[in-house]
Amino acid sequence: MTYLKRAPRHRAWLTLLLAPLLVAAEPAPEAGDDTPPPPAAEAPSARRRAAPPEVFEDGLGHYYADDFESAAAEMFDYLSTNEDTVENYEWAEYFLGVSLKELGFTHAAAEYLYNVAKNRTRPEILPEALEQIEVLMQGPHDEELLFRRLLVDSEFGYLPGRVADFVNYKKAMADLLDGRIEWAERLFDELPDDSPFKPEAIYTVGVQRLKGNRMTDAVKKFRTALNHPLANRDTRNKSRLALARILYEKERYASARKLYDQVEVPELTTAEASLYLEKAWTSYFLKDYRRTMGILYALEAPSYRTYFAPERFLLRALVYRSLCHYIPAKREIRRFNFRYDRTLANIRARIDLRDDEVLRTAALSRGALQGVADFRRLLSDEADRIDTIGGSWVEVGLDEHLRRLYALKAEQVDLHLAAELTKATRAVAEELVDFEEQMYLLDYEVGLEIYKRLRKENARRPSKADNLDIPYGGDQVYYAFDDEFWNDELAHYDFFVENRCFDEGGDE
Amino acid sequence: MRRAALPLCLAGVLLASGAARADEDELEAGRVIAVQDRPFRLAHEFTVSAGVLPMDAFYTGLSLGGSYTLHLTDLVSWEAIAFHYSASVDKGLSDQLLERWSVEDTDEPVIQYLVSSHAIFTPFYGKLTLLNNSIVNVSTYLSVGGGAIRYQGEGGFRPHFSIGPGLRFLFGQVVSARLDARNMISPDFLGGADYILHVTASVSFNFGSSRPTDLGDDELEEADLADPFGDLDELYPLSDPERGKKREGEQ
Repeated sequence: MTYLKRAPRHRAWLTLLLAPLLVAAEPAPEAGDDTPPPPAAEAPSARRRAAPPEVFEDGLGHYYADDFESAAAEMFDYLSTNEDTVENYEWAEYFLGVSLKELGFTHAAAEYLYNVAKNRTRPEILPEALEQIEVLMQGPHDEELLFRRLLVDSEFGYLPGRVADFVNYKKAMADLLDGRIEWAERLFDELPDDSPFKPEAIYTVGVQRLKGNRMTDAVKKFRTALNHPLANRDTRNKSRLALARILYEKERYASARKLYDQVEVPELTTAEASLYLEKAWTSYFLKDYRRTMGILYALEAPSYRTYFAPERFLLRALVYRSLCHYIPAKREIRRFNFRYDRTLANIRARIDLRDDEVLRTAALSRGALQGVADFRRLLSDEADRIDTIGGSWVEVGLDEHLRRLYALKAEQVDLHLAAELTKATRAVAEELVDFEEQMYLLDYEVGLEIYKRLRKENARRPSKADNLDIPYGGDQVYYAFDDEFWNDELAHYDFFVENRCFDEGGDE
Repeated sequence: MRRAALPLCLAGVLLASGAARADEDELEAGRVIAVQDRPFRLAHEFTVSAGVLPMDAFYTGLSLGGSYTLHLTDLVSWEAIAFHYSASVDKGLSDQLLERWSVEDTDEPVIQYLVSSHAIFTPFYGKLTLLNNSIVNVSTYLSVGGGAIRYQGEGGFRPHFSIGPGLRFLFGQVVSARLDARNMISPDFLGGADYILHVTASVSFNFGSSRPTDLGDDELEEADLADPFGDLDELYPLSDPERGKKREGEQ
């Protein structure tokens, strides 16, 4: 028997009509089911008598009428007041999970769908539950619960095409992360070509080849992933980024920049800031100093202010030095010191690095910790939203249950974060100290160059880059920057600056 | 308006006291300018207008018309032909004069339609935020031109010279909305001249984006000439996933 609907939503009335019949077709509850269930963990349910099957039917009706709030309350009522051997228990967990997902309580949804998929007492729901879990895993989620404990540690038996590919892909990722490279690659290879996970698998193998310094293989994999007809935007972008970085390393800066320009990342995110920084370095090595400075100015926008990138000061100072603007170059070095003075003092004072806001924020916005931090934020947001739903949830105690569930998970994530932060903040601190040294070195070099003697006849000739004229019209419009950042302009800043170098100074 | 294009800023800066000093300081460490492609490029614009001729004591003209504008550059365009038909609505002043003071009004001519042609200069271009949510591009322009006015009855034709500001909201490459206020002087051959104000609200439809003044191909920048995959082929000759297929094709 299945309660899942494949027909379009406009035929929900048909399911509503059929739902009681479907329930009736199930074996009738035994007499013993009428006896009150044993005391449940939740206080409210302990005071309530067992919800009859009609509550489940009502919940089903509400679910198919898109009234997920009522559906969640009724399914929870049914679950919390009955034993797990009661008829349709797994179905109730499934519908509760999906209803919570539709209402935006993704972590709670994951907990219930995890139960359905892990217990597998109803194999017919398993593919559906895994499909829902796949969607949940696209956003911040409990990696340990869904990835490790469910997908990696479970044997699901037969699964239909796409769901099987999803599970195999995740299992291969786990093998890869745990160092079982051959196992991982075998699983990746077994994915059929028409699987939507294939391009991502090819990309992942490419990264593996890159780690092993098998460059030709790596590039081939990235190009294959990029051109794969089923590659999604994310995979295409990651492949482009990987190829751009390879070209950058090989000093093919113009080509690298062209690929960087094709990478699309969500606006105003850390990923975008990181991309800007890479573009800035590429432009710097192309000697396109105006563009370099334009990109670096974009990184000053409030949206990127918390992005940890001390090298932006270094790069700006390098550009000014390259254009023989020595005083502004020194000013950038002072700006670096001013910006990170307190953090550097904290590092030298050997305080607990997790207490430094700059280091903490930087550590939480990179690597695996970023995912954990995002999940922690999601827990807070969703927990806050429980209070906005009252009525039927309060009656059955679902609100209180969710509050406890979220509080427990938040506590667990906080402990994990605290443990990982020590290592991560230390890495950031070491990076900052390295940059400080580079800034001191640059300060010294700029000091030397100020007093370098040059002959007048070596004065450089103006180049195209020196053209600082602004046309009155044309296909482009020039907005003078007045300390007001407009999101649509961030990628278009140009830095109008005079090159004051003599021949020797203009080049690296 | 949040910001107008640079010419406006430059004019303001030049007028301000101590501007030269400020410029010098700015050049010291450079200045940041956002250089963006204009999102919309007008070429052949057809406009449908509804307007009003409010400046007559005896009647108000309600006009309906249309025009064609050829955009030569983003700064200069030519409204080649504009036609506005005016339906006059009596304000009742003639009746009042007659009833209260038994005075009959002079036989003032009433506008029947206007034909005109204008040069349009668009020095101001900028953008506005709409409820902090989306951006609307706006331009402000000045129209200068003239044409002929046909008066009802024996009024016949009279020339007119016209000047006035306008405002354009660009909603896309095709559709924009315009608001024009044109001040017209229409000399009377018998002596004197009439002042006419014509205010119109219009919807414009633009067709095409290439202009007669467009020059040849733009110069390609170095980045445009770059060939990332050519470079990858050169660096890693066996990395092209299509290589095997290409060879098979050649054989």
